Amino acid sequence: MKKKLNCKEIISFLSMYLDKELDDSLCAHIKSHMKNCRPCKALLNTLRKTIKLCREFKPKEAYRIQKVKLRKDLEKEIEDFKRFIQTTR
Amino acid sequence: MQNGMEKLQKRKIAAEKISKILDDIKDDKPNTIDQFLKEIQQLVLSFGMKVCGRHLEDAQDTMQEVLIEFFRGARRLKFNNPKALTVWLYKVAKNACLMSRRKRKYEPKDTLSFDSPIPKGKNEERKRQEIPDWSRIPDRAVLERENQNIIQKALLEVPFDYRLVLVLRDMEGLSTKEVSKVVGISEANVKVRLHRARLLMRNALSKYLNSIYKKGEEVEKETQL
Repeated sequence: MKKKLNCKEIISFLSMYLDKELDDSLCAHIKSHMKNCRPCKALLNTLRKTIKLCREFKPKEAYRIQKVKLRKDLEKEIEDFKRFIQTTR
Repeated sequence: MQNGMEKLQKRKIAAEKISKILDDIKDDKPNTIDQFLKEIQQLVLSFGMKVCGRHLEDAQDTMQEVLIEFFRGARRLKFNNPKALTVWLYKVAKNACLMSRRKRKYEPKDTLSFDSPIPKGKNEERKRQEIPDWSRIPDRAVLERENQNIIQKALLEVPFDYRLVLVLRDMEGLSTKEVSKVVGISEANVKVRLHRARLLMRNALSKYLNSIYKKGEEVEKETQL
């Protein structure tokens, strides 16, 4: 890579860098920038942590599943879906 | 960080679950539909909590509508494989969230800025600026019961269109292609939106985590003395 990227340009690539979607030369450029730029390094670390926290997050209130009486039209849809799977799969 | 392999495995497990349920439906095994309904409801409720920050309005009625739309659409669109069904289910859940949002009079204003984490000024001046590196805070400290709301609160500060992509990609583990189908935008746009969404989420988390980080640093300094 000939042109030296500035911080703003480096930041625009960080998601793809963390998702391992960049070519080797751009990765090397970003790594070398991180060695000399503390703010960008902190941003990269906290962005990585953000993604990790998102992946591990499970809302605790989401799992109150109540068994409810199914409406007639829903029962019919379920029966039709069942037949569809049994005939096409 | 959860690596690519673990992420892939997580997705594979979800796809395998649906695949097994479809095989059981084909074999007419007892209680399979009940199990399938439970899986769908869990996914819709959990997704709704993340995207809307609350249970769907009139949860029971809405859930029956969601289920009807899911089964009817899946049959009409001839979705009989786990991947297509998963994408369809998220599409139906997303529409339910949008409807629930429209019903509400109050929605938090989108106030986050993209620019704040970007160091400003000339090179030397910029390098002296400090961005608190709260990545050293242990995960469990953020994910433990009392602090779990931090993630939920931060997530709700991300504007809806960005939040949707962030939840689908980084929380639900869908691929870029799948997210593009659920949201109805190109894969290139998913990538752009995801990057902005992550930056916005990072900014929102910083508001809560900077102070925890600073406290930790003070404790560290004190213990060194």
